[in-house]
Parts: sequence; structure tokens; C-alpha cells
Amino acid sequence: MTIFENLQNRLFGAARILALVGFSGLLILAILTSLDVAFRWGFAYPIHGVNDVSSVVMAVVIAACIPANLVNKQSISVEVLGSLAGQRGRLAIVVFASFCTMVFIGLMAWQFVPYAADLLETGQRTWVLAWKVWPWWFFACGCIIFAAVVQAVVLLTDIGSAIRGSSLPPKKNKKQTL
Amino acid sequence: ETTLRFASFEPPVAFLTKNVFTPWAEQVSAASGGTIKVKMFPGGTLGRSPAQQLKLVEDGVADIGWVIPGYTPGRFDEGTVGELPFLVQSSEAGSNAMWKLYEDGLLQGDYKKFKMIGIFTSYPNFVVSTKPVVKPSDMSGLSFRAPGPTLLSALEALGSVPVGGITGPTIAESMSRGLIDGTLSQWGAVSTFRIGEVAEHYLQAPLGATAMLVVMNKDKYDSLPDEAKAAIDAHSGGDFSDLFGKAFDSNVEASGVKEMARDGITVNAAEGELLEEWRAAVSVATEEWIASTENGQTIHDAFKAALSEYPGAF
Amino acid sequence: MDPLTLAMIGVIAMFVLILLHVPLGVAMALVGVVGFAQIAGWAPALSLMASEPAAAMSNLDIAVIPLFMLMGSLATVGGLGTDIYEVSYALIGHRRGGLATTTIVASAGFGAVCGSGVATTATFSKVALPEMLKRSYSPSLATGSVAAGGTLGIIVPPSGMMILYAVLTEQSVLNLFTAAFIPAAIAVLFYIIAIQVQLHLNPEFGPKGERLPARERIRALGQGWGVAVLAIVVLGGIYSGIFTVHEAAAIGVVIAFLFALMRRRLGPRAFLAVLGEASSSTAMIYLMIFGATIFSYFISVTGGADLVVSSIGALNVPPLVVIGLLLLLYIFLGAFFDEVAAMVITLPFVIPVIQDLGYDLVWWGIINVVVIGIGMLTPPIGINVMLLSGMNPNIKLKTIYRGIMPFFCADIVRLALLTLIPSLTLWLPQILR
Ligand code: NA
Ligand code: NA
Repeated sequence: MTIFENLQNRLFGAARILALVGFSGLLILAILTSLDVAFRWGFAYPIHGVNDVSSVVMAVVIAACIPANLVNKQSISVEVLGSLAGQRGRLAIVVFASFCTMVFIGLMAWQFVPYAADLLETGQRTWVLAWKVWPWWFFACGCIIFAAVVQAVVLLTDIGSAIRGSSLPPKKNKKQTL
Repeated sequence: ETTLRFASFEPPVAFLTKNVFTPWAEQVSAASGGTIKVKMFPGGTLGRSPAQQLKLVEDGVADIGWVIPGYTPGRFDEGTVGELPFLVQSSEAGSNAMWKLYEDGLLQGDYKKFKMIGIFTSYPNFVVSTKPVVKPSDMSGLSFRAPGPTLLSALEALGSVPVGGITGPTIAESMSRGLIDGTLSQWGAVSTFRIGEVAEHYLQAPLGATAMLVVMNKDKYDSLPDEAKAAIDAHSGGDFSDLFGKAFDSNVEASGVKEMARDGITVNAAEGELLEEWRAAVSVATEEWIASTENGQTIHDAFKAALSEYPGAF
Repeated sequence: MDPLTLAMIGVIAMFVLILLHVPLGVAMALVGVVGFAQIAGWAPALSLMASEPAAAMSNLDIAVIPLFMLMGSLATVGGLGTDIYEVSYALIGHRRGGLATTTIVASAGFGAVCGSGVATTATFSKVALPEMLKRSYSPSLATGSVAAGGTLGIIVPPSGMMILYAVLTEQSVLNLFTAAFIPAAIAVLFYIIAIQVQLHLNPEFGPKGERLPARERIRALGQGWGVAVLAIVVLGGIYSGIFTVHEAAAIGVVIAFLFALMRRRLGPRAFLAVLGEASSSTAMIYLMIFGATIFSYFISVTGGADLVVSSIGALNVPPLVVIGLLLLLYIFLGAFFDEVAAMVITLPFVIPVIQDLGYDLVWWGIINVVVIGIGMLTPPIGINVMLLSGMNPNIKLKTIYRGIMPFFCADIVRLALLTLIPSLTLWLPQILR
């Protein structure tokens, strides 16, 4: 195994674990929300600020899902042209799409840093509990930066396959779920 | 000619956007001698969420924006004095008093980061509910929309159950399904958000107004030619705040006439002893605000003094 | 550059990027940022790359999507699809075409707890397809009914597509769900009629099933309680006002989770698979929402949408003709894009037109979802058909597409009916208001 492949495996593994941790957070949030409803309905005694917690935790949950999604290349895209193009054309298209995704997530990561820093500086708080929001957004920002690193590795992998000109990188159970 | 983007999260036909902001944009454009054109982007075409408006102006996505400080707790905290109960008696008084605070240098922090076009408060909010509320004790056990951090302690002191996360447009739906029994609002919003179709009981008591701002990106303002700056300055500040307040009050009055004509509703006004009972019941909000706000007592007293210049002060 | 020229170039650039396999959200975001920068400068344009995603990520209305995703995955693992199939079979399996009808009815029932068309198709491809093939149903009728039934996942509320539409157009999710009830009932009815007509022409396609003894039937009915509990709590809770749609989704997740645990179907491995699947779909949808909102900023500063509205107004044709043209446009776009993509990229232009013509956005949302449902069956990207052929490699794509035909005809009749009679959609939300 080359160093690159080793790095690739570790990064992609970490991305999947991050997504699992993030979605466990969603499950916990769902339980919290259910308890809030139960207490409010049953005893007219709601848990304070569940919505506050939800909005900041959701940011982290969603950000945590993004790196694994990039690894899996699971996106809503239209892959008609590639099936018409020859092998070379198809490889070029894959690299191009991967490059555009890199630019997108790179811009996001770059812009999230000042966004999160601004929340720290201005001291913005949540609605009911008056929690500081910046720690949550710092974490979300970290996830987006990690996503950019992951996508860089995905892009390099795609370029590598294109140069070898051999086979496409294996597609990982691509399906849409709407 | 420079185009300035004025963002409003309200639909184009909503009262303030149609009758205050759009004419403002036209007047400023006309007065600028062709140096600027202020273009309205209503209905959230530049940013849908009310909470997002401030950031849009900061980033320069919009040049001018209508901002509700209550949606971004931790920023413009001094201005939330307008949300305290038993202070603001009308939008005209509240808006003028707010501008005076700003002029006297009592509104610091984020206020200094923008070009202030106008600083306002709404007409005071009162109890709008599906269950009868007259005395403070009637609030006990009822679910109310949590109107933001300032009044949370008062709602709790009244024994109400605050329900968070309900935005203006979903109030009526939430009331009709019994998710909340009531909200603190005023006739204008009752009409705009069609709350009148579901609410049956109204108790008029001055339970705090909503603070509002129209702000402009400071760098953008500084970059404009003098003629343009003069046009904006001529339509900003105390005069604009006064104009806004009067327009707001007249809309509340007109909506009130319309809403009170509905069949089968009860409208009460807290007066005399009942009013004092309410004042005592919600005073905890004021105490907490003063304690938790830097320079709180001074701001509170100055605001109160400025309000007393206008009729109907408490 | 003239803003309208810029808008045109932007739209063309976006189409080119999408044809080059660039993910929809990425293409829309990149074009949106570059275009917005031409008008407002680079710093504000780039700031949208953080502020818009951040607004979407902390928006609790959108958070309903991952919750319903998770609920659907948990319901599938918990075997609720099998349950509802057995209940339906016990009731109607013995009639002519009984198994195909069972598939349709069971898909609708599963659709009442799952918001995804693909998940519904995948579930009944595993549960119903083998049963039909075993009882010598023709493969075309068998696959056709599974693929068509799968579209009921988004037609019957709750529906991920309706939530997406509601989020992007700021309509009440609850109103859309309510509006969908009658159209969903019509969908089921028309599909059953399609089966009967087809069996009238080719009786050998679907032999009768066996009639279960009464005792067996009652026992099977008892199996349906899991689905019933989930559907009643989620939908009942929303409509009775005990909780919001967001809370309903959260409670649905917890019930589905407890149910799967109780049935001992949620080992660590299955649990991780559920989380992984739901999280990846969630990221996919959010990336698309980021792009769609950034793109709509660009379109609104160019005034492009206003131009489309005013030129359609200048055409001076009856509103219904405009609606007809829009539906044709979607069918045309559907040949290049999948229909979800078509809906998302056209919304900034189409919504002002619908409003300007005085139509109800809730009604248009239902029409849009019906069109998307049809698109799940039609080439070139009929996602349900591709999924079925992927899961059953021995069945030819051609066979499935032949099986779709009767259901497709039923869909077209339904679309026409809902378009011509808006009150079929809008009556229920009005009386329940
Ligand atoms: Na559904
Ligand atoms: Na299609």
C-alpha cells in the first residue's frame, strides 16, 4: 500500500465515522424533542430551549454528513453525457466534475472561517437559553474544512485514474433517496 | 449611477414595505441628483430569514436592510429596552425615543458599525389569545409563543408555558391547532398574519414593543459621492424614525378598527387597578434586563424620560 | 454587462456544467456566486458561500428532511413494509390481480410513514416482487406495479419532495400534506383501475391468489399495528395540533427506532447502515438546497425572473395554456434532467409566474410532485425503474418499461384531472383551516 492510499483510507474512514457521530446526534435530538412534546402535552411543562439546542446542533449534524457524502460521490447529478462519450471523454468529465466540487467546497471552507470568527467576535447568542453560538459553528466550520481536504484527495484519486487511463474509480452504491 | 439594494423580508404588498420603505427608496433616489438609485428587493428575494438580514448588510449582499434586533440576541442588546413592558406607549413615541438614545450616545456596540437610517419600535404588543385572559393569573398554564429572551422571565412569572420556534407567518396556524393558546402582538400583525381569523380574546396592556432598525452598510455609504450621502442623510435619522412611527401607529389603528369589527370576539383594555396588577406581574422582566445589561439603568431611565415627551406615557 | 444578458449566460452555463456531470447543487452555487459577483462585487458574492449554507443548516423547517429520512430508514429496517404487505394481502390478495393491487395498496400504506419514493420501491422490490413472480404473475405487471407503487412514497404524505418544495417556496408543509390526500387517493384508485383494465385484456398476467381463512385474516390484521401506530401518531399528531411537523418527524424517528429495537432487527451493524444511508442522502439534499438558494440570489439581482413573468404576461394567452406549456417544459426537461433537478432549477422563474397568474402555490406544489412521480417512471432517468432493474438483474429494462405503460396512462389522466380541477387539491386544506 502506498502512502497516498494509506492516507486515503484513513481520511475516508474518518469521514464515515464523523457522519455516523453526526447522525447519532440527530437521533439524540429527536429523542430530546419527543421528550419536550411529552412533557409539554402531559404536564404543561416543556423542556426549555429545545429549539435553541436544535438549531445549533443541526448545523453540526449537517456539516458532519458532508465529508462522507463527498467520499461516496453521492450527489444529484445528470450522467447522460458520460454514457455517450468514449472512455477518455468519460474520465475527463469525471475529473472536471470532481474539480468543480473541489472549488465549491473549497470556497465554502474559506468563507466559513470568517463567518464563524464573526460569531465569536459579535457574541451572538441563542434565543431562549442565551447560549453562545460560536463554539457550535467552529465545529461545523472544522467539518467543512475537513470536507475540503477529503474532496482534494478524491480529486487526486480521480486524476490518478484518468492519467492511468485504465478504469474508473469504483462507484460506491450510487443511489438517490428522495 | 450606483444602484443600492434595499432588502426587506416582507412581501411587497405588506404595509411597511409598500407604504414606508418603497416611498423612502423613491424619495432618496429622486433627491440624489441621479447619483444613486435605491432598488427594493422585497419578499426575501435577497435573504428570506428575518434573522439573516443583518448579516446580508454586513457582507454587502444588500446595501440597506430592515433588521429586527430581537432575532439576533447578543447584538444591539441596548435597543431591546424597547421590548420591556410598560415603557413604549406608541410606535411614534418609541421610535423617536430610540433615535434620541442613539443621538445621545447611549446605543453603542453594533450601532456604531452601520450607517443608521432609522431606529424604531413597533406599537406595544398585548395579549392575543384563543382563551380568555383578563387578569395576570389567567395566563397561568396557557402556552404562549416565546417572544424572545427579554420577556421570557415575565411569561414564566405569569405561569405561562413559552413555546419557542414559532415565526410570524405560523402563529395563526399554531393557534388554530392549539399548539399555542396565544401570543403577544398588536393589531397590525394580527391583520398581516391573519391571527384575527383564529384569536377570540384580546387584552390591551402595554407588554413591550418590538425593536426595529433600518441600517446601511457603512463602507458602501462612505464610498458614495457627497450628493448621494446628502440625499440619504436628509431622509434618515430622527425625521425618518418619526415618519415610520406615525405610519406604524396609523396602520395599527386602521387594522384595529377592522379586527375589532369581527363577530364573537372580546376586547378588553387593562386600566386602573387591573393595569397596576399587570405592571407588578411582569416587572421581573425589567429588573432582569437592567441587571443583565451593561449600563442598563441609565439606558432604561433615559428611554423612559424620552418617552415621557409623548402623550400617553406610563 | 446588462443584467438580463448575464442571467441568460448564467442559465446556459449552469446547464452546461450539469451536463458535464457536475452535481446540481455545485453547478448552481458556482454559477450563482460568479454571476452575483458581476453585479454586487466578489466579497459579497463569496460571503454567500457561508451565510446561505449556514442559514439552511440551522433552519428547523429544513431539518424535517433528515428526520423523515431517518424515520423511513428505521421503518424499513423494522420490517414495517412486510407488515403492511401482509395485511393488504389478507384483505384483497384473493381477487383478480390481487397481488398487484396488494402491492399498490401496501405501497400507499407504507408511503404514509415513509417520505421517499425510492425507499418505497426498494422495500416492495424485496417484499412484493418475489411473491408475484412465485405465483406466475407476468414480470411486466409485477415490476410495473412495484415501480408505480413506489411513486406513492412521495404522493402520499409525508413526502420528502413536498417538504423540499415547501422549503424552497416558503409554503406551509402542513398545507401541502393536507392538499395531497385526495390526489393520493385518486392515484391509488387509478392504479387499481389500470390493473383491472390490463387484466381484462390479458387475464393470464395476474392469476387470482388464494383466499385466506377468516382466522388467518384476523391474525394478519394484527400485524399491521406497527405501521398503524406510526402513521396515526405522526399524521394524527400533526393535524390534531399536539405538535408541529418538525416535532412529528422527531417523534416518528423515536417510535420507528423503538419499534426496530423491540423487534430485535436493529443490531449494531444494521444501526450503522441506517445512520450511514440517511446521513448521506441528507448531505446530498442539503448541498442541493445550498446551490439552489445561492443561484436564486443571482437570478433575483438580475431581474431575470421579472422578465420571464412580464414576457409571459405579454403573450396574452389564457392561464391554462401557460400551465400546459409549463407541464410540457417539465416533460421536455425531464428528458435531460431528472425531475427533482428540473423542479429545483426552474422554481426561481416558475413560482413568480404561477403567483402572477393567480394560481395557488400549494396546488402547483402538488402538480409538481405528481410530475416528479411520473418522471420516476419514464426514460431516460426513471429512477424507480433503474432501481428495480438494478435490484433484479435478470429482469430486462424493456420488460419493466412495458409494465409501466398502463400506470403511466393512469398518471397522465390523473395529472390532467388535477390540473383542470384545482379544487380536488385545495378543497381539503380550505375546510380544515
Ligand atoms: Na410518503
Ligand atoms: Na424521468
